[in-house]
Amino acid sequence: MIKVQSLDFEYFGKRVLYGVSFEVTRGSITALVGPNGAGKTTLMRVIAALETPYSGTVSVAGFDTVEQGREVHKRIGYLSDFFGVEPDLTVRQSLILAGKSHLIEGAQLHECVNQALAILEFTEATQNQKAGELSRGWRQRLGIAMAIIHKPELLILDEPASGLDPEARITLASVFKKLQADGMTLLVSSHILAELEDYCTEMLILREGRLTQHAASPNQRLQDIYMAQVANPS
Amino acid sequence: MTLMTAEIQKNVWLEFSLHRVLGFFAVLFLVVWTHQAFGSGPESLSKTASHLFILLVLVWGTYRSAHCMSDETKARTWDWQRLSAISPWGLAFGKLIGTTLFNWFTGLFLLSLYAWAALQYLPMAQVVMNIALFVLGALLSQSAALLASLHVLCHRPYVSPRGNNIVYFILGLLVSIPFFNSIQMKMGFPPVIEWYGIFFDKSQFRLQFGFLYFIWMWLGLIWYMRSELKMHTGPWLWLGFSIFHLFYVAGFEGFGPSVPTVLFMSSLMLLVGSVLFGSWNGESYKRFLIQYNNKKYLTAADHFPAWVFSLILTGIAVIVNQVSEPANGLIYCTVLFYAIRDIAILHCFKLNRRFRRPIGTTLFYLFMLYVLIPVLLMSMKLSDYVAFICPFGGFTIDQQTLTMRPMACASGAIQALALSFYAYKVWKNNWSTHNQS
Repeated sequence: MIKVQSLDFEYFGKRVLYGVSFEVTRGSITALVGPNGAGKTTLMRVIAALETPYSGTVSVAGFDTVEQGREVHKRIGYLSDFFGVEPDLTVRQSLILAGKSHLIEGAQLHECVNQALAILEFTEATQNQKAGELSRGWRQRLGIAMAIIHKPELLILDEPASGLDPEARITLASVFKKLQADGMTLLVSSHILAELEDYCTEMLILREGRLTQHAASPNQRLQDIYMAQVANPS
Repeated sequence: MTLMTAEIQKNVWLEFSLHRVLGFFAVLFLVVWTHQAFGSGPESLSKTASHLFILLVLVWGTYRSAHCMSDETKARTWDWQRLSAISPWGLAFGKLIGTTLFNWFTGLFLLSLYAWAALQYLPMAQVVMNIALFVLGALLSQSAALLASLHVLCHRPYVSPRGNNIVYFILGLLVSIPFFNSIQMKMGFPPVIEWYGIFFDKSQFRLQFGFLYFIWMWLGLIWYMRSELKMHTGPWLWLGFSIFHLFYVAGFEGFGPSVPTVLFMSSLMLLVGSVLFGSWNGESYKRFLIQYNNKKYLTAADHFPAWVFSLILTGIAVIVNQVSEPANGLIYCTVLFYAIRDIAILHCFKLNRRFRRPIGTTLFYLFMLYVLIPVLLMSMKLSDYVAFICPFGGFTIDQQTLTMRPMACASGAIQALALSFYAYKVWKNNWSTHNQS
């Protein structure tokens, strides 16, 4: 689904990613972990074709992010760590706009909106609530709903669980599993390893802009892999 | 394709509240009623309607256009739109018209009121012309503000766009001034303008060329949207605009300087603009070279510095001057050499990673070279040496003809060469091999 080869990225003269290479299989939920400043957000933005790499290639569903960026945009949903919603619009209105921005119109638009509302378990009352009045957990759900409105093949989520209470995190985990079951590939970055174990099937460890490990081991605890990596970075 | 894009839909939901619409109609009713009650003539009513249009559509609309991109980035909603399936055309349309939708809604009624009142004392053709000038002036103003804010968002993301909003706003308003100067509020013989030897009605001329400049701005907005959507852009739009602009200014013969001189001055101004405000830096040069070496020419073109085209056009203007006015040829050659020297100075600072404010530092050095040191030398009665520092010092009047001393030209050439070489060294030290994996 994602193929990254020898990716270098520089931001305002500072190298952020060094020769990163990996592949993510279709239908997986991959955790992207690493300390602050490791380059997780940059890597996700490059995969989402929002930033242009210095050198190296990144392809999503067979489309090159530099040469066919718009094709990549059509196939992905991306939720950044600090995303914004229009506070004066209701949840339903926000989703209609998200659908319209993916050129979904008419009956199909309402079908997509209703599906997204159902997946994220929005009640009748919350659907008509203004986005600015939602709690953090519901705002996060709205963000995910907006990101999946066009049924993307790949969903990229940057720190989706940060700031959420335990109950909201459990709900989020079940949403991810549901999306995976629907055939979506997920790339999720997080600091909280324990929660990633619940749903992630692969793990990428990024340290100081370098990919130090790519573990595809559902039988081994992700936390153990990460701690082993921290203890022995080489 | 539907015109009710996501951006338009959003603004319909957010801007068209019942209170706002009722408030506008109350103001409109009050204006008409006051004029009727005090027995003012249609001329007064048309003026009030046009002033309200200027206030609500031009001033407020431009203010909103200047703010729309910074509002998006501040609210962190811009990435949603960059990832959408909306075309660059749709995004440009959404931002230009969507953001100012309520302003244009009020403008529609105000222009109708203006037309109704103005038709009572002006011929139909003049009223239509005035309305077209109003609409075009407001569109140009809003486009210029949006273009400036997009430029900063695309190429200088580290600059706080919010702090510059007032600059975009003023820039937008300045663009519209010529249009409102040409609006005829009274009957009378319209002034004419000569262009390439043909006489045009001034209002008509401004309308036609205003429309052409609006097309360029529109293309510019699409270009920036393409850049934001990570689509190929290339430097061709700047080249096309530069050629169009030079063709336009070359038509005003007989207004003072000769056509080759106007061409040179205009191309020099485009060069200065593209160097100072262009999107080039060490990173873009490096990206260009990497993509070029990888034979990805289309991607490489996205990072090609537009100022190179302006430099080539300025060089062509020098050759044109050399051929048409050989006696003055040295003047243009010298100015070009000093321009290259100044570009090299900016490169020395901009390509050096240590400098945080390269443009400010360069402007300070240029102030020293063009003002401070020449004034000091002249006060010390060493005026002859000014020619070694800036081209103005090399001017001499020989038999009532302005000429350039060869010494100034040679000095400019040597400085241009030396500083270009130094800029290359700075590039090598900072970007060529540094920080590689």
